[in-house]
Amino acid sequence: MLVVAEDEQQTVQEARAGEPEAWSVLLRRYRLPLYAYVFELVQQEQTSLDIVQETFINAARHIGGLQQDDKFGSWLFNIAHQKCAQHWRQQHPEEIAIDPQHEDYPDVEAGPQELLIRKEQEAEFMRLLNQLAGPHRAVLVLHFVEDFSLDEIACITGTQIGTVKSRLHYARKAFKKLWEKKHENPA
Amino acid sequence: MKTPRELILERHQAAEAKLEMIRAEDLAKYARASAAQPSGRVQPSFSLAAAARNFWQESLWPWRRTWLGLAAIWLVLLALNLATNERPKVASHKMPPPDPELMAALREQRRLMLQALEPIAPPPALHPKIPGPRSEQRQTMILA
Repeated sequence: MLVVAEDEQQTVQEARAGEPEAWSVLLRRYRLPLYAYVFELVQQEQTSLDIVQETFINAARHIGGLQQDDKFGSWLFNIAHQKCAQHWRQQHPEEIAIDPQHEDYPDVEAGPQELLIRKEQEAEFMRLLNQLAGPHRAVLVLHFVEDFSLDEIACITGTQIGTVKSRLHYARKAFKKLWEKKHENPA
Repeated sequence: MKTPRELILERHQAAEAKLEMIRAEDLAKYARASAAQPSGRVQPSFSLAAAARNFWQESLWPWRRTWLGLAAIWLVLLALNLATNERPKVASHKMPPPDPELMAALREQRRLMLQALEPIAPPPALHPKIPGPRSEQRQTMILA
């Protein structure tokens, strides 16, 4: 993950005890990244707002069952992901996501911070991101926005770590291809 | 220059105001209610209504067209079955009277079979003559 405040575990403990200030801290920390992730999956503003709200309410109701306080972030994103998946199933019952065959991919790839986007490339970046398939976009956003580890992304998306590696590999490859293609042929 | 994170979050910055509708006080209240439970953790509880709703949402509703199609097929089959309503004719079919010659031949064949299968009486057993003891023979000879 990105820089996680050392006292987040303390904040989570206080939130479990029902401290409003602790929930306020967690809300400020996670609501926008969570909304960004949900929006990139469902592409609907009101649905995304509803899912984020339901996610926090669920988290508050079930925080007693959270085993590892330092995993609060991935746990929260997992709740949101399940809600997105439920929404997706209702909207597209006949579609089944198919992953390519699992292969061995390198565990360590360039971190998201290494990619820097110039001002004139921003709109293009978002457009290319939206061109990726849903599962690929999901892992890439988790990777970009929160820099979750492969294990954490696997927990969030409820998939095997091999699937995450595969998706992340293909997502980065597809994104890079689109990015290079665009900048080779700007027209 | 921006990182992807900065760019993605900036794109959704406008939603921040709407996200403020989620109140920390409400969340704290839910958490306190959860902590007040005896085990301190939310126990999964089985409820028939929740199970039925879950079954509806996950098994029926996503494949509603398939289920409707199957139901339509069954209705068509039922309608066809009721419309044709024919009884099998095997039961009402009467057998013609048997041929007397054939019956006589069968009776004769049966009689021969019974004769062939009749148990044969065993011959009377011949008891071998057992000679008496030597002392009796000797006495007979002396008396003679």
